Amino acid sequence: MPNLVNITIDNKKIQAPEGANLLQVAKDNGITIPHLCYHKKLTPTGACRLCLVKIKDMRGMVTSCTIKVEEGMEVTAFDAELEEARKYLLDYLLAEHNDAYDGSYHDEFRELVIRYGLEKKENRRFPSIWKELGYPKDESSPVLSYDASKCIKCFRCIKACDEVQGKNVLSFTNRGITSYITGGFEKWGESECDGCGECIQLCPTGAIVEKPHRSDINIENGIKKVRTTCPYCGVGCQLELWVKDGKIVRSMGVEDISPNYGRLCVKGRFGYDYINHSERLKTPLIKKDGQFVEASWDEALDLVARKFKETKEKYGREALAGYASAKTTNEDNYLFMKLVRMVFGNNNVDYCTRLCHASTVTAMLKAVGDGAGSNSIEDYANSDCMLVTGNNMIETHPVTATFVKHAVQRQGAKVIIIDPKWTPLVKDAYIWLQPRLGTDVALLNGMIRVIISEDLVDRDFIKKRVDGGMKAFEDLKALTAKYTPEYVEEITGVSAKLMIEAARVYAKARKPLIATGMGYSQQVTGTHNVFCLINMMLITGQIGRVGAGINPPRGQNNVQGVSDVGTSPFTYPGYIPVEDAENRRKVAKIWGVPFEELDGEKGLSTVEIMQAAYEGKVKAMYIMGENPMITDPNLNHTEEAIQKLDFLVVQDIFPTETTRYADVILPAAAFAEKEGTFVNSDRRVLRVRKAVEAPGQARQDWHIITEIAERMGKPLGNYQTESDIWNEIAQTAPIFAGISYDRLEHRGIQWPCPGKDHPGTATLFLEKFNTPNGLGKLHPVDFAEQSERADAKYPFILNTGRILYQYHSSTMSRRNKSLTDFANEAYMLMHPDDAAHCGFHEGDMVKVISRRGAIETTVRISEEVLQGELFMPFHFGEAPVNKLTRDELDPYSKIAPFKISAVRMEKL
Amino acid sequence: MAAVFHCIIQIFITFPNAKETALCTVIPVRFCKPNPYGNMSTKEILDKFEARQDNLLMILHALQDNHPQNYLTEEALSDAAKYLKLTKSSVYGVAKYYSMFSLKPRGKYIIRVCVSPVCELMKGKEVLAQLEETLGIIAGETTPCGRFSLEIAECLGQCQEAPSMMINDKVFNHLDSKKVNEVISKYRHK
Repeated sequence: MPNLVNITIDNKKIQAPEGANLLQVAKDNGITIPHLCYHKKLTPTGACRLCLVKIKDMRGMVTSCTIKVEEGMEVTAFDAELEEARKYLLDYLLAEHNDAYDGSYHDEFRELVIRYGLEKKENRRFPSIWKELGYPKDESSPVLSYDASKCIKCFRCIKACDEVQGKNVLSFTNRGITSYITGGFEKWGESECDGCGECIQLCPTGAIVEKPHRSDINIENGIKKVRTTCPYCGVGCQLELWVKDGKIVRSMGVEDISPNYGRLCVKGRFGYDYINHSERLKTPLIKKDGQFVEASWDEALDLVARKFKETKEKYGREALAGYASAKTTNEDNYLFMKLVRMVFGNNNVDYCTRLCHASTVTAMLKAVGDGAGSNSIEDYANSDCMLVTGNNMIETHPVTATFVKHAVQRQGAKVIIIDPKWTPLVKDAYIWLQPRLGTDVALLNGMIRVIISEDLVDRDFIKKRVDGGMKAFEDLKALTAKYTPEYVEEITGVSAKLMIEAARVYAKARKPLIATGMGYSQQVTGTHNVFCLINMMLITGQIGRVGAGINPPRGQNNVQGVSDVGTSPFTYPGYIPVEDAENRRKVAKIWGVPFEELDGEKGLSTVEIMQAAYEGKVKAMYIMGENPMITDPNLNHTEEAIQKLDFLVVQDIFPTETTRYADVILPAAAFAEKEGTFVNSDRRVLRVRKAVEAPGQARQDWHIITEIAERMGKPLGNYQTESDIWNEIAQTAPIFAGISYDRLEHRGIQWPCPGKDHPGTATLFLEKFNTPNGLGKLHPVDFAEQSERADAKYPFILNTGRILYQYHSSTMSRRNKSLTDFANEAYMLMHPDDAAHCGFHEGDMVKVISRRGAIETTVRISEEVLQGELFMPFHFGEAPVNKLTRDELDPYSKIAPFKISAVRMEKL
Repeated sequence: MAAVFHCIIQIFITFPNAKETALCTVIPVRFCKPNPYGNMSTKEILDKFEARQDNLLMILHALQDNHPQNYLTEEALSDAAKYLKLTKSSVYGVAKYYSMFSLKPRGKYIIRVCVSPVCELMKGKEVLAQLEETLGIIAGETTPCGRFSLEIAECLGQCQEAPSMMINDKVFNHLDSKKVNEVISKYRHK
């Protein structure tokens, strides 16, 4: 902690930390010195000169934004001379400034102009010259406009882009009075700008403004602002939604609050228009003679309840199953899970986690006892080494990536990337290891061998915190002995030299964090990949302290929470196994049902449910907010399975590829129409708040669930509000025991939070692991060749993934013009040498064929992929890449190998 | 607003890791060297430089000199940005900041007439006026045949022999009407 020093500002006595920024100290103590270029998120610039103050024993006037407070400092912030100087400076700025104002943004400059009485032209000293300066406007970006005539060249946007977002896309062009901001070559839309809008949020004059809904907004008139949590990825960014006439018209990042501190990505800032999209489902629909017809809620709910009941009576309870949703709240999912266990009477409930991080979670549960990230998102900013494995975080978790970039750009942290495909983070990386697809176990075993042979292991940690101690270590040592750098290079294609350096950097780091993504998890060997990561982490003792550990960033807003509240075929709320009779007894009591009615056997997982449907074992399904007809592997098989169902209910906000196959479609409320909670990637429970009404007759998911249960004759409980549901969750899940809505009002709380006075847990495993004996467990695993490999008939290995501008099955993201303007087309990345060999050119239409199916798409030629490998984003329904993928599962976690499919290509 | 201040800050922003070098290489000593890069591909030129951000100015000069029309194309700027791992605007900002760089096609011969105080005292403005009349263009323009571009320059460092001008890399001092005519007619037929 820095020393406190005593200063005075205008004779007011103030205590402040030594070295703090004088302007900020004044502001925090209620003395707002006028300023424009200063922003607390940015380094001081000192360009606008408005924050001039006088300091005893310093000559003349000095800019308070560039002064650090010292003991005894005597500051004059306001006197006649300073105010006159400020007025003069403002007046001077005004001469070059177009002061037209349309009321659609917060204009800090205008506020000062009014404050200093310069609003009227006759009160100004200098003639207006901005019109003669020929300032341009840049309208080329899909999401923002830049008007140089409104720019005061304060540097805030440049620094917002560079220092806050780590992108440095903006610069000045020209010199002196004719200078202004440029993105790219004065064509913002063709620059590297990805539309995050940080510059808009920090612009003090309205020179950079959003394009969408500008004409709808007058900030002084009829704007309701609602704070909530972003509906896209699992960072959990805090948003402030602006609502006008029942419609969302703007989204701003909430400053000063974790996890995003005001930062957003393009989806969080511009991806809200889907809420008000005309294609929203507004009435229940029942399929009659192959056609969907509108129905009343009573009619639809009665039918659903009757069909589920009949199915259960006719085929037994195992014939029912449900897919819950990582897009909906904890409260929705908890009740969905409760419906399946209590009313369906089985454990056949799962959701998309089985398609993303199931293997990571499985490995982590076995090895360290918890499947969630061990650290906080902001810990990345203080890390000195980040091992990023199969994780394109700049595109998939853009705000997490800003913390990583801060560590690199501000304190020289080293990023080690393991990824067969180039990702934008490579630009900030120290080392990029590019193994062939599916060879990760060999690579990591090689790194472990380097660490052991160079004696970079932490024996003390192994003895104290690893199950089996040095004996277990010796087993790992024996298994990895054969993974010499040369052998590993042969398997993976990764240079031995780079691999050795990466191992050394990780093992020697003070605060290393592993960020592991879909590239590692979505393989048949997904669990093995993560076992290897954990083996390396445990023998080097790189976990169990603040800033060190392993963190799988979660892909969906609430993928963490849905698992946490027990929406899993294997675990009850709080990760307590289904088989735990004592826990079932406790839960049965809370639910008010006989203990015997709760099935003690594991249920079917996501892909297993589809397989059971295919085999005719599951007859009726309830799908809430999922789109398996895009996201499940081996889609042709999924389609057949879904068609075999006797009865399918899909509850969603839009018609999707899956609703087509439904017998009943139930219209639900979207995130901005809900109260509730999400849990983000660092286990933070965050409030979701209602900003607008749901369209038409669309209802809250949990209302629909309780109605179905009631009509099936087993009411779930008497819930008046979402808070009532949460309180029951907190009763059943010990990790949430101390959390209630009133505690979440201002900021989120990280679980485990076992008591009302517990502050939450920023770092897991500080004292012990969450395994039964409290020790971490090594799982030595050998490299095995992938079961599907390239051969003469299918010579390429296809990798799949995500892009920044679209999101999952794109049900939401493609219904935002701002996002589709950036990217709206499927494509296949191919290495230039392969393209030349096959005679393909950029933009060629091709047919891509695997053993399971075929799709058509466009070729893009790029060195981002290795020779022999391809990459395709999975968002696009017109080229559903999952027709090509396999549903052969990782035996431990039941995850499907989305990342590795052998394919061939034919020119169309 | 505080123009000079902006300029300095801009250099710092453009070269976050190379502050000192960037400031030191503002005017490279290249006035008297012949262009060594004629007719090379952009890649060949870039390969001559280490991919360090403080080489940006030298790279831009080389790319500009290499172009038959004496300017920097957007393609060249993009290639330089990619090579140095800079964003497009960082490179563009530098190119627009220094008057020695042009983003528009220019003539084969660039005439830079000094209009700084010393040259002006020695009738430098008359030199400029004579050139404008002789070439039929005003400062900032290029003759339709593409042979000459006329630009005004701040001090060329030749005060002791004012008034002065440069044509590409060559300096001409003690200018008067006769000498200007002689020089221009020589370059007309060069």
